[in-house]
Amino acid sequence: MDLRELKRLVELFERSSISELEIDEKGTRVRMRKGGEGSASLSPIGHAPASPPNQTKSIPHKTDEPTAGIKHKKVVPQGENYIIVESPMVGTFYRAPAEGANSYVMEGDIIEKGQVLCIVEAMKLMNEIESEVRGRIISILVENAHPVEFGEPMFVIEKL
Amino acid sequence: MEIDSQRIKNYLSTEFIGSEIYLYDKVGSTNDIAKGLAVNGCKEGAVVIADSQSKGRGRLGRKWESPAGVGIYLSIILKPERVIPQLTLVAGVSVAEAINRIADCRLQIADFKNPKSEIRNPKLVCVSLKWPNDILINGKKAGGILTEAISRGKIVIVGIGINVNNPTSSPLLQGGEWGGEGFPDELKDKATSIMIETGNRTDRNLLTAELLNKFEYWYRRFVKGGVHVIKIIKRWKELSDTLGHRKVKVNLGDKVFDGVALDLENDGSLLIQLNDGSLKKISAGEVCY
Repeated sequence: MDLRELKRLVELFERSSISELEIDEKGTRVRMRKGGEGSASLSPIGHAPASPPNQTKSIPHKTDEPTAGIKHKKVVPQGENYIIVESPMVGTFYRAPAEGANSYVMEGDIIEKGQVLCIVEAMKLMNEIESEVRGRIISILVENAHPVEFGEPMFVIEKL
Repeated sequence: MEIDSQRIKNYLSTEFIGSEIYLYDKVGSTNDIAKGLAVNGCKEGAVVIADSQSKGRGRLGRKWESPAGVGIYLSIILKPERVIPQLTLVAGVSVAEAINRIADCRLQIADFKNPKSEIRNPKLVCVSLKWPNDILINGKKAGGILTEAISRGKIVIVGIGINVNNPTSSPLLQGGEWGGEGFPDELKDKATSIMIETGNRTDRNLLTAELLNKFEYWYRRFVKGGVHVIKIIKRWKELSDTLGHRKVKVNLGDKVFDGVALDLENDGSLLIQLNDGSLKKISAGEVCY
């Protein structure tokens, strides 16, 4: 599916009365769901929905995708040197281990490989998300205590 | 009676859960000890048990009172192929069934499809589950589960806390305030123990062993996936105190939803009918009623 088709699909979806749509075409899965604000949210699901957590992925990410409905509106830098950390599951994003505790990481921090970046919680399963590389946190795309979808980008890390 | 790993092993009928038992008098948190052991390569199924915890935790750093001599505080180390949040439900079902088997507690089997049926018979001591994984006795919280995934999901620690022989006067759960407004700090008044409700002391070794037996039974089915997961979901629904005509508030991130808990989906998420009649699937967050 190319970008034009995807854009058209988003427009059609937004105008329709359908609240959720999932398309699986030649191994590319796209799921759209209308949020509470009446806007459509779009999250590319990736190629293997049942695969083990694949949290980081180097950027074949298209930053020129339609951004209207995407919850995070920050600009995502492009290039081989940047890593996007995606959520391995549907859940709630937490930046700190507890209320009032310091955030695991801040934008600009230098992080080591294996360092915990955040927690994604679903049904009281607290999934610690670790960085797969040493790098610098360029951007944190989700706000604390906000829901995340499967595959939703959470961090942009510059490899060091 | 003291917790004694040999006595626990005498009652165990498992193949791998509890094959190694690490017993401590007092720890910060059994989950933290378990994480350390798991990272250093201990076997799947190893169990960390402590007589008391100084930093027993619930969700998001909330404190779990873990006094000595009266509770069960343990962590099971698993190495599943992938992280599946429904594991939380496996643990809940196992704890409820173990309490039913060992203590003088009935399982509260709900007919949630018939909202007019009485949910709880007040004359009987009943154990039930609150989504996603509180263990209730007579509708009050007697146990909780905190599952943590680390090392890119390769290690999962299932932490279980049960108030067993706590006397009436002891301090129990301290409700945290994480999650913002709309949820008063009310857990304190809603906590209980098996002894408070049944009037009887329960052998913690026996209950621990039975819990591990039940957990292995359900976990082995769970990892097979497919129809086995649906069986666990079905069992959870039977034991649920949440489904039916129960009015709930769901605290999800910074949003609060009011509605009625209708059903549990096969992925373990809760189906809520909101006050405006629309349906909402909840897979994270916290339920209050």
